[in-house]
Amino acid sequence: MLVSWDWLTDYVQLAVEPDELALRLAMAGLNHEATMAVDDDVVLDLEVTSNRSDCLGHIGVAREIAVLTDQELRLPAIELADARRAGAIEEILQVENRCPDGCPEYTARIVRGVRVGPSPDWLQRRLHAVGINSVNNIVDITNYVLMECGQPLHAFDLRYIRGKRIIVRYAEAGEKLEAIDHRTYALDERMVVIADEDGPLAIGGIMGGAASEVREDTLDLVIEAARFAPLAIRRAARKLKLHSPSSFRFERTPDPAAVDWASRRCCQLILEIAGGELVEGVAHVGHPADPRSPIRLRWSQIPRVLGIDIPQDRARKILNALGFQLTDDATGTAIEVLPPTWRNDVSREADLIEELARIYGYDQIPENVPVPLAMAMPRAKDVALERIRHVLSARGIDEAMTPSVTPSHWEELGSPWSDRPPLTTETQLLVGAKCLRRSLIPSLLSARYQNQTQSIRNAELYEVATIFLPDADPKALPDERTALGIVTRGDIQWLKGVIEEILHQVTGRLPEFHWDRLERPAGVFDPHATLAVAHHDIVLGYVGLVVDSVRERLDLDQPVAAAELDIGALTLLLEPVRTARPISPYPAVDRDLNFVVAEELPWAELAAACCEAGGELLQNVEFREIYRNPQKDGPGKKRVLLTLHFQSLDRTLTGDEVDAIVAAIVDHCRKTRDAHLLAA
Amino acid sequence: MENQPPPVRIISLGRVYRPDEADPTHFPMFHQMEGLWVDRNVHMGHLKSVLRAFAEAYLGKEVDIRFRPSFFPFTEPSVEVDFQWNGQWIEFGGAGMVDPQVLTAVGYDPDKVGGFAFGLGVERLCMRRHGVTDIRDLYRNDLRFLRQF
Repeated sequence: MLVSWDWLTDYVQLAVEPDELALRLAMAGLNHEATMAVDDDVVLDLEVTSNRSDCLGHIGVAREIAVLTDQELRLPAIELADARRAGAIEEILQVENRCPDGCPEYTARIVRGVRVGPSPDWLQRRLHAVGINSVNNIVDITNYVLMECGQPLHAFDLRYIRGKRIIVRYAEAGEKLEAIDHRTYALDERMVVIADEDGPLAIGGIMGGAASEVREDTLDLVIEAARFAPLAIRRAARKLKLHSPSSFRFERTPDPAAVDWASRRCCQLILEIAGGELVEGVAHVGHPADPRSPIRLRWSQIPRVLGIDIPQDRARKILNALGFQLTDDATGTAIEVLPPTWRNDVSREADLIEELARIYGYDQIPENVPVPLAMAMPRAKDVALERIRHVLSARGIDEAMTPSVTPSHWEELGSPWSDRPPLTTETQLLVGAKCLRRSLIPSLLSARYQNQTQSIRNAELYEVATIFLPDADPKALPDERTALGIVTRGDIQWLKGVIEEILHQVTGRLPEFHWDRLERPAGVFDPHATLAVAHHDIVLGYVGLVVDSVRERLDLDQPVAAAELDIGALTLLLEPVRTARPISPYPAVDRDLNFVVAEELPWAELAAACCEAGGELLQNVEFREIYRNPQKDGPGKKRVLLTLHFQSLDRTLTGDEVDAIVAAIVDHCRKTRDAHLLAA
Repeated sequence: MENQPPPVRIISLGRVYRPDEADPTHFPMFHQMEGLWVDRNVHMGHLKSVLRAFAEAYLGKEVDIRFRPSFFPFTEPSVEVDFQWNGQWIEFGGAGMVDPQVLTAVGYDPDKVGGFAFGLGVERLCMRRHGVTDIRDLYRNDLRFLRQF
């Protein structure tokens, strides 16, 4: 809302400098956006919150200033002499309201014999100061009154109201109107129009029509002042993408008492500036706004909400100055407060307390009140995530943050968690992005690609964020899971090691997890080079290579490995506090074994076989290397070198004792995993 | 709140969305830290004191805080919170006393309990603190940026 310093002085004496005034207004609720010099005037740009329609005109702002600076508010006096010889309005114009829910009140006055022409300099200057172009004296006056009191007005040329009958109604399907911006708008049955017998003249509360607008040869005017239902206006303005100063105000419920005031004020200025004669009376359909109900303000509630008391005489003075009428309550503990017509936003005790607080000053509220303490503990998920971030940072993987809503061609890459189509938003988040993602990996691959375009090789990234898995019922809410996504160099063994370290750090029971090959394709993962990690029957995530077709589609020039874990499921396995194991003071004995096994046998199987036969003295099975020698071992075989670590907590192990266990392990591996010790 | 009696004390941090065009100071996704405290005898002094304590802890001592009146549907009175930082007032987030209708809606008696709520913009804080001038840098995931932190 732009307000002119010069204009404000019509209503209130401005006893402070513009900077000081801007600060005081900001601290009372009209946030200061900018101060500009326009011609010889100073213009303040104030941000008016959506509840304060009363401040969408100079008088409303002047009232705030009067309260804040302890000055008197002066309103223009309107004295209108009805000219009987110009006729009585009911003989000239009929008004019918067929949609009182969309337009609760409609009024029209007529001025005959005006001279349309340029506005006087003072009027042009004031409109220019608040960013409104001068059109002609009549249009300028309607805009002036709008900017004065916040009530939108419209002037029609009486010649073009066919049948001399104004009908306020909902538009019919298929009706169109060329508005004064010379664009044609397609109307629908929920939009209010001001029509005559032949069709719409104006889009009610939003914009007038080109056909009936005031032009140079206009003589007789119909001045419309009305109230429109805020929601109907908001809907129509959005649908038509037509936001005008008028719709902006009607969406915010202007002062209902201003309808008549603005109409008379407009006629007064027309008679002064453009001449003519006012036709007697006003065409009025609909009903005035319901009278306001008094609000009970209990004095005890002020300190209860604000933490400070405001002296009663000060509180009374503030409310009176803002236009509230006070009546003492018989008990003396409260007052009855009747809000003014322009303060639609004040209807409850809490609203009155806010009025007092904002004028009395929030700087009076203490900021050193002792605050009782409540202990907060990190949730299990936060504990798990802290350990996960630690593992990933230690391996040089950077944390990324990508938008939750993705383009559909990313979602087409799939998700390991769900084959159902993603949920979509009605409004796109970024250009082309409307899908609630079901996996973090496409976003991370895209971030990796963006780095590649900047010649940053091998961006290894992870993200912790929500994924949205659609329900079978498309109307049901999705299964929202916190996921960890990772993309790294195309080394699946290395990335699996990272995941194993995460599982170990979070749960402390890595051996309980099992790793299974995929039975079917899962999202971006290559089904031949991907493992699902599970705990009992619960799949916790996937680790694997990104399939070549996806990599090529995304222009990634190097092999990529990816992983995704379900953090919620993992958190259920959290080991909150680790328990230390005793450390043996006795020497350890190591034995290296070199097995020949089938190519398909995973390391985990061989290690498990060693543990099964190793007993409690076997402390660890350590992987050393894999070597292939098809000439000696035959096709489809590999050699796996491993080290067994033996140790006892209560004695030094003898060579014979260890040899016996090793023999048992070798035997068990041969029988259960077809693993043969390499002949020496 | 529908399922448990007061007191309630919550801090909630998460992603929020709104249809803004992305530019150096706007991004359609950002993070908000929301707080809610409902109990007997909670007043606006508690709100101001908690936010000041947070500002001092996060920014260091000597942080001034001020409330400017504003409007939000869930609080009444409602304020914008500014912190004074290097001689400048910086808008930090919105706050206010929980609107009595919110309390009534969850079955609390607004004459017996009251409370405050706030929502602070995380990116704005973070950008100020670290001298980040383009909010989009936070979501580009360019390693040259990420590796600075």
